[in-house]
Amino acid sequence: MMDRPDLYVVARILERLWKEPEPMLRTRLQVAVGTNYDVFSRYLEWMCGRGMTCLVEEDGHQKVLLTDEGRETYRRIVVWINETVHGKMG
Amino acid sequence: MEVGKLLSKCWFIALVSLAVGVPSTFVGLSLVWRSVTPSMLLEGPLTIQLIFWIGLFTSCGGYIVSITCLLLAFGPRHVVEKGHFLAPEELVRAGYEVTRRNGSFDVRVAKYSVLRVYEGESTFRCLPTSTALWTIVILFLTFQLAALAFPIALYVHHRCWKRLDDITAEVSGDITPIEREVEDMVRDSLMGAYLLAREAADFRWSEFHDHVLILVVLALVSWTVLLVLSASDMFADRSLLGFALGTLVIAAVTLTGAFVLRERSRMDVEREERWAERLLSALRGEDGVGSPIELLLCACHQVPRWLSAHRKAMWLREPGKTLLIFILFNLGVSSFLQYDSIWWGFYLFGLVCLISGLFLLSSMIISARFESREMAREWERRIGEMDSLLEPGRGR
Repeated sequence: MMDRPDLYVVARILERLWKEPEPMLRTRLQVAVGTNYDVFSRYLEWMCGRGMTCLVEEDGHQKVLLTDEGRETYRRIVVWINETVHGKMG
Repeated sequence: MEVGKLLSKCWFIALVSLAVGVPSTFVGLSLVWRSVTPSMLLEGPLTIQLIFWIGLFTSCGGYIVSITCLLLAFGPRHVVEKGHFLAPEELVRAGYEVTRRNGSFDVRVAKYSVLRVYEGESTFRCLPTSTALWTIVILFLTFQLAALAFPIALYVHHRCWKRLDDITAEVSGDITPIEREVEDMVRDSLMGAYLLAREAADFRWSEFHDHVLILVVLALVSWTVLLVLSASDMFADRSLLGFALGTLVIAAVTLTGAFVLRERSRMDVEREERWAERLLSALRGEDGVGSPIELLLCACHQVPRWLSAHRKAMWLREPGKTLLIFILFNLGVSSFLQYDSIWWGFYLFGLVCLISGLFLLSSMIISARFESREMAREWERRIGEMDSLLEPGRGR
């Protein structure tokens, strides 16, 4: 289990899932995010543990779904970036 | 039916400037005419006296009229009468050159005119571009041509008002505030980061030009000193060797300095331009750019450097104040040079100008330093927040 996940990798996974309205195939998500399978599995496990994503079985395949908590986290990251870029540091 | 105004803003400024400048020059010069006229001219023919007086009147009047006009044209803030300004990102998309500032942004509306829009206030100021500003400064440095700054300031002001109508007409339609979606916010962040990177590259170039200008001025001063020091030798033994050698050394040092400065700036500019290109590619959705969110998270670490580039470009950041400092220093030095030869009052005036210029310059440097320190502290706190973004239930 990870102690301190890399925000960049988590953000990439959240971003990819955000754009997908339907649950996404686990392997397709891994390719889209661009990490190796072990790292991806560790991150996915961590994110499922935090309630950001959940795994669903569809047509005999394991798929990944973004939860409300995951959506909220992604939105939080985007708002933070937006404020940072526009220099709102108060 | 709309009732037309008797005078347009430009005519009003022009007439007020002339009404202030011409009589005050006349009154001022008539009070001190004996002190400022060289004794050899007082004894000379009337025609020479008249030419001297016309020249002096045009120059002094030119300064007063131009300064009054600059203050009236670029000083006050105006309120938008109809509609609102577009957001900076929308103005960029509409083809305008936009420069972000603290609490405001500059929109280049014409070749030599800039509108400074104050966010959240619906107010704006008319300003000249850096090229127009440099032209005005150079005209101020040449005593006889200072009057030409008057029509230039009027032209810049006129163009600002003319283009303002276009912008307000574009936004006069119904604008309903809608909650921005996450996708919009990502695009907005990409655009904001792109603008910051682009401006940082421009500011780095501008910084390089400022440094080269200082170097050239120092070289010219050194060369003048060399000329004065070697004048007696040149007349005595008619040898130009020392002077030629000195000139060569000054030229070599200046060229080497300019080359070193250029190389240093080139690397900085290229780095900022690479960032701007990557962000623009992400904005356009080009292939091979990678994740926009990851790019933005990386870009966030560059923001302090981009903002500091903005702060360092003093000339572009506070052009009005910088122009005032130039004018004060120029007036101060000119008045000092005329001490003894004309009137003691020039000495006092020069001293006041130099002290005021020095005070303004120091206050600008000190406030920029304080701002940098404050921003560095805020930035550390902000980056510290990054780790807590993944904590559950962290509401904003």
